Amino acid sequence: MSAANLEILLARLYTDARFREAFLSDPEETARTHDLDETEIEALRNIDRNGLEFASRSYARKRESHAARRRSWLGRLIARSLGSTVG
Amino acid sequence: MADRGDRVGLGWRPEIAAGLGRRLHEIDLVEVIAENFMDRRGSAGLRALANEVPVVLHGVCLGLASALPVDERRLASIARLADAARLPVWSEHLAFVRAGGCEIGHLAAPPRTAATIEGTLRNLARARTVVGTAPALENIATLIDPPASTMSECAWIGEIAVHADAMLLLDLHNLYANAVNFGADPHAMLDALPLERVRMVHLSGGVWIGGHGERLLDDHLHDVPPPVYALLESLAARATQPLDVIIERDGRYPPVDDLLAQVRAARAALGRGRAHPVLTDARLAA
Repeated sequence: MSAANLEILLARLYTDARFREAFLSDPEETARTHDLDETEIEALRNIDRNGLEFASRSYARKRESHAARRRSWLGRLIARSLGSTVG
Repeated sequence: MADRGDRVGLGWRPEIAAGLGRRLHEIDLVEVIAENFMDRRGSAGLRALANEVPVVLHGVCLGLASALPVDERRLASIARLADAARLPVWSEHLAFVRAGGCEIGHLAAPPRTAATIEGTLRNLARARTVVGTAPALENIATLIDPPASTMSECAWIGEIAVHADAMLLLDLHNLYANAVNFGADPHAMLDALPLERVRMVHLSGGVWIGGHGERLLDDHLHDVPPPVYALLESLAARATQPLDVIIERDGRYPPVDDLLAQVRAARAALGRGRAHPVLTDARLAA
């Protein structure tokens, strides 16, 4: 079960800036709230901090790009439906 | 077409479809992103495209490499599309993309452990049951060394591929980026993989990021760099089986001429590798 908990914690670290900040100020404390084993907690204490920042920024840009694509798709759909209503 | 049945093509994207559609005779196949064709109109379009050129299906959001179970709804969508478009060959990434209600938005490397191997094997068995065929498995690029890993990337991929009896989709830019980002020799990494399982290959480009160019980001916005063609040549020298090679581009699209020049460069790299085979255990066994 702790392998799944570790993935859940990593997903939050990659997507939630506040959670990441809290984690970086005290990795052990954050890790202990996720029911991880001692090896996993030790690994998080020594996490690749530069890599975490690079990865998180890259994921944020990807999410923004997905959201922009969805907005553009929704915009086209609304325009099309308004066009057909008016037409 | 290159020697020994190798095929080289491009990732099909709406932005290049018009230009590429007129020059399909210059490529051997295309790869489509499954999630872009999930509605009824999409699968009909895919069937029409498959009448013009061989098509392979590529998934990007199943998140199969995880201790958590695969999303059944997304798996069913892939199964419906593969069936409707009559495309039995598909691929997915060895990545997790969500956990605990968080959508990461892209491919993330799970810790390389026995637990994620077990989870991935369960997810692959489920995928094989639902879709009818198992996907070819793609290695991903990562900017962070996944914490709590107990195995090397190549050993982890090899264990999964062998136990799932799966084909590999080897992304050579991902391999190159991970090697240079974490201090490994890309050619040694290539040799550490079960190359006899590689059926498909991805090529792409990236950019150095960070104040002092600390990491190579696989962004699919740049041309394929020379070291990646060198890896393709090396792979072609070591593999006995035919390879399907796809050049991926996801933005800052150059003219189609430039993309087709990269297709020709990939064919040339395959040709050089095939002309100078390297004796490996797999080649000796074959």
